[in-house]
Amino acid sequence: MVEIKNLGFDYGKTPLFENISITLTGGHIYGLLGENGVGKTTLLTLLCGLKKPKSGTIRTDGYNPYNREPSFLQDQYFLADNIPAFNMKACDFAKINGKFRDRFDYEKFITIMKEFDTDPSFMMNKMSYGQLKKCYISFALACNVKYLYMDEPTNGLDIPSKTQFRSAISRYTDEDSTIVISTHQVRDLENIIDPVIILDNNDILLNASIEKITEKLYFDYTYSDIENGAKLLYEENIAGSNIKVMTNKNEIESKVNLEALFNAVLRNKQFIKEIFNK
Amino acid sequence: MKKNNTFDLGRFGKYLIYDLNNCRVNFGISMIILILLGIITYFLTGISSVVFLGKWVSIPIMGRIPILGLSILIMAIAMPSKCYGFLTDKGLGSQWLMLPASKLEKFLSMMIMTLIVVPFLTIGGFLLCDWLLCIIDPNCGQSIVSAACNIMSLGEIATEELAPLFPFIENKWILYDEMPQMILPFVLGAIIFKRNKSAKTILCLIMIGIIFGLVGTPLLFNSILDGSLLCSSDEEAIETISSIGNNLILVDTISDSIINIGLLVAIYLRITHLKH
Repeated sequence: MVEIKNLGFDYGKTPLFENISITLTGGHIYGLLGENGVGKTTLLTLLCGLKKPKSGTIRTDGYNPYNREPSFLQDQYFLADNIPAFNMKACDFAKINGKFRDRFDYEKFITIMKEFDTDPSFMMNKMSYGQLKKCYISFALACNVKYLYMDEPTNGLDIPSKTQFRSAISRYTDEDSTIVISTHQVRDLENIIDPVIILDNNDILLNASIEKITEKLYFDYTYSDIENGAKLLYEENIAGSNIKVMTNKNEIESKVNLEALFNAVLRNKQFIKEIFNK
Repeated sequence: MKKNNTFDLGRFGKYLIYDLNNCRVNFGISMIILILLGIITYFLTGISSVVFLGKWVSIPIMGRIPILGLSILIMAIAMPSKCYGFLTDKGLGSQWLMLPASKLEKFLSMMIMTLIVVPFLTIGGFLLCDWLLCIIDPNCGQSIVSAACNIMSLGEIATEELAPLFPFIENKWILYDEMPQMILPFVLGAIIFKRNKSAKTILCLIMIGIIFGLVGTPLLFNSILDGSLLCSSDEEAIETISSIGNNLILVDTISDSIINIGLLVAIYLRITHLKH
């Protein structure tokens, strides 16, 4: 379990987080959403110990991530958006780095690489960005870590690879592992993310499971009128398709559209906080 | 079995091999060039002498020793940034920080690589090439290794007689503390500066040298020399020179040790507090 208490962080005079508190529990794939510059990547780097909080605490199973103790690092993998291309074969990279991880499964790495249609014997520095990303995703999943942090994992992936990525995340992660995926490509991950965390400047706007979101909000994909008493939070009408996000007065279940949810939350920050904190 | 989070021998062994491979990839070719620098210079000199003088001229030992010095200097300047400069890179540095090995293990491995493995391989390789060159071409004269052996045996004979005048003959530590002092600033520079690591380190060393020169020189002359040499007899002068020599060697050994320990601590702290 990851416990963040009163987290504060800034880059010089620009505060990024102020008193953020949140708990991440096992068995979930958290979707970390937010506008550019709100601190999604910073939060991930704080969680895996690459940065030190300015105030407050982060505890992962009792460890302070910034101490970067080997037994803590054994359970973590951070897949950055900015990934290095080494002058070696992908399979050698996996073998060399996998030696440090007790639960690394080389066969799993090869299997996932094959599912991604990427040759493990290919030199990393000759790979395209997408291929390199697939190599790192395969390695991350083959490490069988308890905490997996991914920053924009679908960036650079082609359409079939995005489908394969969703499938790999569902199939090759342990049930009790905690996965945090930061992304702008919400449509790529719509069906696997649960719960959703939406960051805003200095704050967390929303941290709720899909179940809770559908309990509080109704996503209407028709052109019908707004129900009596329901409050319209967001409406989008593009190229013949319509979507409305409104409060769920009649407790009707609907399918969450993450993009519409994100826009609705950003336009109704205070209201969203109020209804989700009830 | 739960592993120790500060130091585990098995994990350290794995990391050392990982680091060795990393240094081989990043500095291997450069090291081979530095090892072969003597041979390269030998052939370049020979060919140019054939072209300009019409005969093959071999480099004598006095010409090859500065080439060894140059090779060591280039290694000391270039190797740390080539082997560990990636630590300041966001992508590569993050990968390194997230590697499950302790900070102490990473630090020890870095020191073993930069102070022992790479210098010994480079210098050893250079001396081996020089020795082979001298066997193949007798015109090169004595090899650096055999010349050094001769000087050391001479030194043993001379020690008793010259010790009062040149006490550093007996002080072997001076031979071991100079190499770290040459390499460690560049290791620190490699993990502090993001770009132009070697150039910035050299600039810093020059600035530190100027500051210490301005402050230290008058202090040194006032406290040690004290003008006593000017008014002494021959015997007294020898005694004074001897005591100055003793003092200088002591001061040098102590200051070198302090500088080396300071640099080691600074490198360890930098590794510990590295952020991305």
